[in-house]
Amino acid sequence: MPRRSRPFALALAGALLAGGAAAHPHVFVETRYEVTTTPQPAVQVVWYFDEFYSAMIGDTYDTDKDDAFSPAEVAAIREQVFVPLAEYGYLTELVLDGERVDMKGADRFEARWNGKVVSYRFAVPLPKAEGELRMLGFDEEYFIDFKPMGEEPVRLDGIGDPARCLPAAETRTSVSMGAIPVDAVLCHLGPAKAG
Amino acid sequence: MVRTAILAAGLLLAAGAALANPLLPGATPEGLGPLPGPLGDLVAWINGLQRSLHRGLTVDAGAVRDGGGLAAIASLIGLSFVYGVVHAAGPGHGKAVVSSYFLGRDARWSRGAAAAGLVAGVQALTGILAVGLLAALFGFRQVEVMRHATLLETVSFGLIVALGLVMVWGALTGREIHLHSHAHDRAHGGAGDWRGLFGMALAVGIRPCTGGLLVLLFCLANGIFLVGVAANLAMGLGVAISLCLIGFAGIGARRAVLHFAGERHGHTHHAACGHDHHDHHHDHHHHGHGHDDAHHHHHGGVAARVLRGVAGLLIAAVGALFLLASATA
Repeated sequence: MPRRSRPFALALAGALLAGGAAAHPHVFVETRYEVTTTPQPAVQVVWYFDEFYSAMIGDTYDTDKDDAFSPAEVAAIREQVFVPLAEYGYLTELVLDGERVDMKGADRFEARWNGKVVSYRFAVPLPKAEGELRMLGFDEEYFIDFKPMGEEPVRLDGIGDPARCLPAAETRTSVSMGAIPVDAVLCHLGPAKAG
Repeated sequence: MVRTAILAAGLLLAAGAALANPLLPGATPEGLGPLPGPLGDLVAWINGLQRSLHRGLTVDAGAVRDGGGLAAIASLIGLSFVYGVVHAAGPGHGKAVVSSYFLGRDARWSRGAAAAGLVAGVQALTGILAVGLLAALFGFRQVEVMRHATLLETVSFGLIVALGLVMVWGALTGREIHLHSHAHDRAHGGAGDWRGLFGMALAVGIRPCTGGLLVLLFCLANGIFLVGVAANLAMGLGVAISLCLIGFAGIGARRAVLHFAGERHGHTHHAACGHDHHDHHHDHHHHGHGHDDAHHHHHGGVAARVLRGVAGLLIAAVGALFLLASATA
């Protein structure tokens, strides 16, 4: 199972990820999933990075040092981080009514930086805005640890009640560390029912 | 016959202990498959601990950046120490190499501690120098610093393979070649012994700790580089303590195997327990193969040589697997 090099920057360093030499996570991401219906059903995946990774990305891409990413700076991150992530399914698993959502349509990448925290955001089209939707982030190299945000891990745009989404403890097999517990979020999408 | 059986069982146990080392699962390309319940819980627990430690480090480092003063600095350094202890318990800090190294050669307990200190020290200094030179001096962007630090990792894996092969060679030929040629020195702790330790410390330690690099880069970006250096030294101290226990495990496993195999672990036991030379030879005589000179009975025992060979193979295999993994990455 030969592995090609990891996305520049998100990976930090390809070899660090390989073979488990650094098999414990060094990048910590808190996720939020925002399900929207316009212009078409989609999940907006939002990643908030820990301050160490944030500082590194901020230092590297905030070339004018204004504690914000300009459109040009975002474009650089998009090209060097986001686009290569396609090969890894954007480290995101979305399952709607038991069917894996095709990640190929992931787009509308945004990156933000406030001098402390970097966040990425991208949208994944959904075939429909109803059914059971399971959402999780997982890096099979286990260099990056994903966890739903403590507050507001999900936003549903009028197609369900976020309060009724459930945390789901799952297991995924990492390349180097065997089975890893993964926190998923399970939501029921559909017209909000009265009562 | 009985002894052979016990010896085989002992070696299996020792190999099992080495294989149970968390580093080796890390070296298994396909992973271990699903872990049974309690182990899975343990992984989850360690993950949670790592996550909160990492978060604590970012909070503390942020507090230093925001003018938290000495209290924040002290907190960051204390937490870095704890992070070092815990972090070294995960794969990638040379545990397999250190434990196998001591499985493969006679050493006093104090050598285990010295080796741990050396490895952790080299590792901390490598990280500090890498960030200091590449980022502060040459103005590399941070992501670039990380990528270049990775080259050191490949160097480290190569050196580890070489170290293992040297040990295998020693086992096959019954000689110590260079590393340990005056092992029968009464003083024990001759130059060769230290050369071996330094060699191992360099091989393992030249790979900087990613967590340490992250702290250094964060501090550098926020104009508090020296605080990052102090935090890295504290982290190194924590790593040293964990590695020390690992080294002791290797030494203990070796002594147990040699004990059950009926071989004395030469000068080590001698030094540690204060047996004098006569006792030593006497014992050997009883066991029926003590007629050789001192040099031989240190390293000529079958179990001792097999152990050395097994340890060398383990080390070489670990290094090779990592090398392969990083080459195909």
